Amino acid sequence: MKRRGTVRQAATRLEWLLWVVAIASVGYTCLWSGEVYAARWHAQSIGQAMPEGGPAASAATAPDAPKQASSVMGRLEIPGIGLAVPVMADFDPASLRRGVGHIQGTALPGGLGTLGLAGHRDTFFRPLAHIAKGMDIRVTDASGTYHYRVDGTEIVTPDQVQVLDIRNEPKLTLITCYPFDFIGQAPKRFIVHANLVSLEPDAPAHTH
Amino acid sequence: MLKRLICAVFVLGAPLAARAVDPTGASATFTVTQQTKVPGETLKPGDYTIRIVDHLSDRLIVRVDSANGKTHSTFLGLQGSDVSRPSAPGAVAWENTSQKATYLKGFLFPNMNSVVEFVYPKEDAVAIAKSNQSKVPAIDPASEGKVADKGLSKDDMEVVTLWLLSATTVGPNDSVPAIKAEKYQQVASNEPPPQPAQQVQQANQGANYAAGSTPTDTASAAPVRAPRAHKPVVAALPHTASAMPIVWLLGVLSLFGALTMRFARLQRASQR
Repeated sequence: MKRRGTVRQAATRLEWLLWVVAIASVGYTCLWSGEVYAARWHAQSIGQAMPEGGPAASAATAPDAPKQASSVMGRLEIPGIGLAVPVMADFDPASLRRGVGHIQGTALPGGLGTLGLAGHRDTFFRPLAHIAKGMDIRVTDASGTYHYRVDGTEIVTPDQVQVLDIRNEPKLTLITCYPFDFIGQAPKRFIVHANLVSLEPDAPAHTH
Repeated sequence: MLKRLICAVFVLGAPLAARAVDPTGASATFTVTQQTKVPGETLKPGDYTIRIVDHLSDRLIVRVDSANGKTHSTFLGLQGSDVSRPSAPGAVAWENTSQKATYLKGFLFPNMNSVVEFVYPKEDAVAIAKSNQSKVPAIDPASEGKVADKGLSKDDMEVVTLWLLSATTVGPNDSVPAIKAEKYQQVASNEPPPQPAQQVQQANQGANYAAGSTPTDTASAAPVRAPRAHKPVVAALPHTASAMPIVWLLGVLSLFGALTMRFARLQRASQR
């Protein structure tokens, strides 16, 4: 009788523990979604000109953008695969939770060199599995929107850092883990190479 | 414009014969009569000294100082470029540039066969390329992680990548104007190659190319240095697996387990 009571008590505790874990998981997901939403909102305001007659037609960022998303440096869009994601100024774990990360030391958007962006294969960069040669990639930062054209993809090992080397023309290199459906630390990296179409950005879109 | 821009060029410094072989130390003065841009600086009307303070195999390091000592600018130049040689030494200006200021394209030093072409920061080079058909030498230090608030350091100048920008068209029917960039590949110089016995001793070069540094002599042999190779920006490509799928999986399994246990408990209670 006493033993049955102990088992029942343990089962009740386990059930409570499972409820706590489930609720914590939902809470963490909500927190993450909030961070992503803030980063997306901030990224959306980057590259937008102020309303006509505003203080600066070339203003990069809406002044009321949330401060917690201050490391957002732009946004990446690939219309062909429905990808639109904030670009963070670094690629540390906190940044990669909120968007794709700029690999510091590589070129800036539209810059002379190779722009390196890394993102999680199981969240933001999951659609990269469907990318194809010739697709348009748009990278927007404070100076405007730059267009890159997909040149090809390759699968490399993590030590093949030469994918970020400066080539004969300005490039964009997108990096994510491979295989896409691997559970745990994936052994390879999926690389997308793209060429910069023009050094001159599109004119900022006007907000009205 | 050119006639108004450049009034005089005087030769300064050491033996001219040596200058034809090795550009380091070549020096001249010039006068500008209107606002004129050189890489990293806008020159107000006045007298200036220009000199080559160092050189690597594919680039020169050029310094411009104002006569009053208020303006200094150190920037990169290319030797042996395809800029047509003017009839007399002096500054060469870009055509069709901004109405507010003229961009200097380069400088022909006395006793040099080719114009030393100036290398502009990307933004200026794009502006020049938009209104000219020529290729514009450019650098983009910010895109190589080199912060350049107070100008590039000596080390950065030796390693920064050189580019050539030019106007082109893209898009359907090639109807959209664009600026393309290609990495600068050193072309054969019109200058005679430096002879070992006549090369410049560069050991006494000031690290910061300080104003008033003495042009070097052409006495001892020192090999022409090649630009240093770039270091990789990362040791390994980043690991990019998110914790979110595990969080979601754990959450779903916990929820499923908790619901199952609750259901079992209720079943047991109802059977009693």
